[in-house]
Amino acid sequence: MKNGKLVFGAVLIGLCVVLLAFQLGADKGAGDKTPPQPRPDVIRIDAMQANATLQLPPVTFKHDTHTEALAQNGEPADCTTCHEVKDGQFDPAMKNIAGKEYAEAKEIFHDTCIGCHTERAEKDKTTGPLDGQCRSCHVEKPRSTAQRQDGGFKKVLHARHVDSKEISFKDKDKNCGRCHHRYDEADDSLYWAEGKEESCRYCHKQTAQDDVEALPKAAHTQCLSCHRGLTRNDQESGPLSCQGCHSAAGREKIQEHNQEYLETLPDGLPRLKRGQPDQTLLFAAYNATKAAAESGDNQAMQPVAFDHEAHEQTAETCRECHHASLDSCQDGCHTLTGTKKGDFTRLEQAMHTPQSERSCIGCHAQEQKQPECAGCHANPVKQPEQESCDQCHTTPKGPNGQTLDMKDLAEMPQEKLEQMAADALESQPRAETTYAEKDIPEEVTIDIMAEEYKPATFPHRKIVNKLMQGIKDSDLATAMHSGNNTVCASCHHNSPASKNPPKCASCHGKPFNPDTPQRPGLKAAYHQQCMDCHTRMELEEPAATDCSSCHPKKDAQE
Amino acid sequence: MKRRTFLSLLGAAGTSTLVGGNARAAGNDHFEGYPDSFGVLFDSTQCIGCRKCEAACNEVNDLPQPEVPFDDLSIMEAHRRTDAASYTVVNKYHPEGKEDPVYRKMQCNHCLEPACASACFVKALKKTPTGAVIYDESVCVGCRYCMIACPFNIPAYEYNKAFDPAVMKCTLCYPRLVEGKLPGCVKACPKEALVFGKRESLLTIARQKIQQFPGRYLEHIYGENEMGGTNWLYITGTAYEQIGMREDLGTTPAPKLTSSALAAVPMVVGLWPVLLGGLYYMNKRKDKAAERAKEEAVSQAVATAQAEAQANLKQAREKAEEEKQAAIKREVQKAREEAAKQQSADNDDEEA
Repeated sequence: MKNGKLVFGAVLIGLCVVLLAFQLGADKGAGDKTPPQPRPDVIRIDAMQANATLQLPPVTFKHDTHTEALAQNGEPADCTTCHEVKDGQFDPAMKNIAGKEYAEAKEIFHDTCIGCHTERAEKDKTTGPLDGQCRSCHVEKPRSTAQRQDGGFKKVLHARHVDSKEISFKDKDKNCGRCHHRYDEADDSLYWAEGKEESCRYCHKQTAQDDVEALPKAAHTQCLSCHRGLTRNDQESGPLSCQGCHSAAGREKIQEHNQEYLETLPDGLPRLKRGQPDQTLLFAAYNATKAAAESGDNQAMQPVAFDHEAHEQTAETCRECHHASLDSCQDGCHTLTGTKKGDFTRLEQAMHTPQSERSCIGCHAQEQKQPECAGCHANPVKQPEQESCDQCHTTPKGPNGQTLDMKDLAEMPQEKLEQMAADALESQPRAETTYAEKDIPEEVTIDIMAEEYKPATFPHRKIVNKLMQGIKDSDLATAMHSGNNTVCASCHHNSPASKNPPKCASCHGKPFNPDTPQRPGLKAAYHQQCMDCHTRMELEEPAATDCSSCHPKKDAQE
Repeated sequence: MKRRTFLSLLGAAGTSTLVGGNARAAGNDHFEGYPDSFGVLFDSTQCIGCRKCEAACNEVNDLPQPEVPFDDLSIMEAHRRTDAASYTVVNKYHPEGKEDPVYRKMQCNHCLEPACASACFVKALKKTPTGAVIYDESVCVGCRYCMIACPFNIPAYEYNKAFDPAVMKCTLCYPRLVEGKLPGCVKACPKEALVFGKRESLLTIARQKIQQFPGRYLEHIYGENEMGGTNWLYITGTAYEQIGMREDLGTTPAPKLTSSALAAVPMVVGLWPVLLGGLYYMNKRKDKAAERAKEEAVSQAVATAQAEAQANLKQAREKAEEEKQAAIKREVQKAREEAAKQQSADNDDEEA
């Protein structure tokens, strides 16, 4: 047919146009939308979907926007617009919602929110969506997402609250009871148990359990009620808005105030008095008596002398170690063989797991990742001797130097044991110094393979001094490096510590020996040792590729 | 040709291809490599990007001096590839999520079953028992099929030479290996980022390293199975894609990818002419027989008709002859009678 060719051509062109349109459309689609902005005050009102199927997606509610809008009269926002305040206690949930059915709750929300919007619209103020603009609130994929920093109530902020004159509890001289409470089942009331204050999180978990409120609700009720009261009385108060605690800017401000507070303290932050020991002996059972009873013939590990006071200074909260309760670890949770309450984590695991952030070894391992330490401690060749249990599990000695066994220790009063711990920690050798300077060579000349390059002069003493500098400022390092030659062990590895360690060439020779496949040849041994340590310690000079900074190049004639 | 004939030939040709079955490359199911062949293990966590390997390769193989000297480290930012004067290059990569750059040395991977050797129809590229894939310039015809075949894009060509261009690629320093020496790059590396040894030992060393330093390396030795396995192995702490190494190559050796198609060639060349020729001949013969039969029938008919015609004609002629004779007789008779009558008349006259 005559038109056949025409039709065919038209179809072909049409197809090309469609494909082209897709291509162009593809680029446009990606760049059009700006990425959603994370904010700390974004709340998705989605609690109702627990009991009913939602007809529309949950509302994305920006809390701070609303408090700012309500505060436009010069006064701070009136929380009672949406929240109930009973007896000074502020309820963070929307008012009148509790216990209501889906339809009623929907009514309440719509009346409150859209009602207020309508009022403001009538006054020609900028306001939110009105009746009929359903999908302006019920957005499927909101532009703003919630990103909240941790509230960060740690020891400095806590100290500021303890010290604060604005916070008082009845007529007591300590204001602990203002926040710290326990629940009395018989009375169905909260009371302050003096001397038994604990972290809120021990009872208030992330989600509500039985009758115990979830932590966010409990914390907001507790904190905001007090802050609101103080603000209304024109007193100095903590933040009331979401971003005040939970945004990066808000947290910075809090840190500044914390810093100012610390500077006012002449002796640094005072210790929290909660009846904790300064130094104590940790037994492989709840206490010496139990250890004696369980072990019988001295089969238990020796006790560890533990400096609780020193550890308090490095921890930000007690929860870093006491993660579920302030009781002793072994008392009912992490026994020798494990219990259900402790999730069957044995005492050995609780104390030693290197990957945990809570265990002794794990926390120490985290410290060792710092650049000053990583040079030696992250050295894959020979990691410093950590397999020796003696480092911590010391055999306690009596006054006459005799070994004490569990039965003897079981009979001693607690104060005596604590004194023994203090003495043991005192007498522990501290590695603040190493060998005398005259015993450390200042420079070592490595000329064993000088072909393309001149011999290398290695500034040995300078490096040892630099390492010692990193060590002596750290309590952990000086306590753990028990000898004055421990610091030598990483470079002078696989040989006993001594003032005259063997030459590198005595073990490292020709490369690629099938008998020792993991052992590099001499050239690589030198380069790997130096370059990798520099990388681990994050030193930019000397650069690994700057050959002549360690050994200048030989001239052609030499 | 008639359509039916054509279709039947096509069908026969197609069915015959099923006869072959999958031809196996080199006759083995999976080549694990020559025993005791050498290889090199590259550890990217050790490489510092000093380019000493490039300099050593250049020296050992007498390659021309490059424009940019080997101590210029900024050139590694541009991701170069091997070329006619560089058997190996080191490139610098900035993987996402990592602060420090990662360096990767690129060179011939000396595959266990090389694509280049498979593609070369003059056997210029050969896999040796030492593990090296070496090149013989004297037989090369310059078709550059090897360059197309290589999945890693390694072989380069001396386009600038008019009379004796050659394919240029890393030889694993085969002449040095034969003498018991180390390859040039391996010897020069100050960090032993290049570990030399037997391929099996290198795999063991690589696995030991991965096990000993959890979190430092990815648990995948590149080259263990890629393209059927290579003699140059890599271990790294970053994803291979991010340091420019293809992860989409699969584990099938290159020759196996084409062996089934190639195995069909002898069949096509040998079987098809015979089979299809035979079928064609049979068809043609049938046609010819039909033709002949037809012709015969026609000639028969013609002959019969002719004979009939002849017979008819003869009959007619005879009849005509007969009639003629009869007519003649009658005429003669008539004439006689006339004559007789006349005679008698005459006689009468005379009598009178």
